[in-house]
Amino acid sequence: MHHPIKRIVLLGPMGIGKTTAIRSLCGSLAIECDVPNLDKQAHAKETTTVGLDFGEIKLDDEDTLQVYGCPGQERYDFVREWALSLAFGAIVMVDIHDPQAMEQTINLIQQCHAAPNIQAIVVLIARPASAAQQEMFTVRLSAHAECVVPVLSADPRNPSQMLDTLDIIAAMLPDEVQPR
Amino acid sequence: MSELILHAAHLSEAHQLRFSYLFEVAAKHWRDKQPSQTAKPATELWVIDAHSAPDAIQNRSHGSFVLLIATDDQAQAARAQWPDQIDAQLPPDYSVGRLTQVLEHLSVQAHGKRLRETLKNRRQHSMTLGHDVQLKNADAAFLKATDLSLPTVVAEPLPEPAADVPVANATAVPAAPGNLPAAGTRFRIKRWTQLTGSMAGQAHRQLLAAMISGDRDLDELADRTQLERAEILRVLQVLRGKGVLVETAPPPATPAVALATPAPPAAHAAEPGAASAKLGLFRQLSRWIHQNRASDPH
Repeated sequence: MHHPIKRIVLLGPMGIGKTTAIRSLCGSLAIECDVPNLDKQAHAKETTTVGLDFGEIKLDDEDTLQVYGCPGQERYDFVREWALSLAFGAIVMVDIHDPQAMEQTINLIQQCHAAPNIQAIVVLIARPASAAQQEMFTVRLSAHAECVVPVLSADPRNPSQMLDTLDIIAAMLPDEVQPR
Repeated sequence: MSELILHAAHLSEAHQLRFSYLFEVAAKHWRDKQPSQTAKPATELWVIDAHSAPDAIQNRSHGSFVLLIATDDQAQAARAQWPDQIDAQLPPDYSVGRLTQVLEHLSVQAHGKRLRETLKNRRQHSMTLGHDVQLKNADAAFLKATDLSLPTVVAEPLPEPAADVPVANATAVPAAPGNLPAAGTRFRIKRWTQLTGSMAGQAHRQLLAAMISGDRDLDELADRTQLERAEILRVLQVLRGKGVLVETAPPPATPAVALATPAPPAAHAAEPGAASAKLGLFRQLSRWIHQNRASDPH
């Protein structure tokens, strides 16, 4: 029997914590594609992702959920487009204190909507923010027709909080029943 | 104790957040300044913005006060269109101090107006609360402001409330069987919203996620969360107060068919052969997450 591979992708700017989030979700079943960061002007971190970070979650004996982390730099947008074309869900990670956060988030959500199979999109506030700041960001984001999506807050380093995020994606999925 | 009857449902979402937070503080300041020995009549306040002004001004009850949150240009245009209908104006970036001043100003003007007359015209989507209620957070404000006994899907004004109901008691009542939404009503939210207090948990976020991704009835919502039905109704009530809930009434049943057809099986009943069908991705993911949590020391 053919089991289509299920994939979700993590999107967001450089340094937001996509690689860390995959590690939190997938543990030892994660492969990182980090190389030394030569673009210290964009972000001061020591390494950055080229290609795709990758992790797996064994849902049961037959099915596996694959988690991809896309490189954040704009010059790798073709990689992001390819990964989105294969995925059913997307987590858009954001630091809402970044002045560009709103524009970046809207742009990424629009890219998600352009993908053929995306069924669930979640925005993840990956840096500490007050409830009022989160709500304000949510209200502003929701003013854009395509951006009516859950806006959650989680620490990418925290497996439990990342599970909560995955749980929200699960709650958004249609409960389809596939015949054997 | 003087009272303030607040109608803020006509305020657009862009202004609701700021208002809900600042009003809580401003109302407390205002109350603290009231002479305790002087019993003043209640003040009914409609808070509107430029977008909602036409509808709100038309529907507001006689004798109520209108606070317009808008830029000076918008306020000037509104005053030209509805002379003597706007009692006060605040710019969109108003402060707590400005809001407190407005409340004091309106309180003085409100002298001599009667509460029951204004309550008679209270409409379905209005928000009513006594400002002397201690509010823990914005959700509590909206919860107290929304009357659970209101019909679920109504476009017409409510019938007049009982004349002898005191305003201070106009708070939410626990969900009761008599207040259940009509069977088959489906719920959706127009946008995500951050719930706080006792509603800040993961199960409540699951509930919101289920409603943001599609129209769901109560059975589906209960199925997708770990929440009791009464708690789901409580959340729906808060969302209704926030103005983000969209409720779709079930299509009217055709009497002839209903009479001739035996009772249909429940919508969530298992279809023949479903037990042997493969779980959907939602079920798979949920089950995996549940198992992972159980084994995760975090």
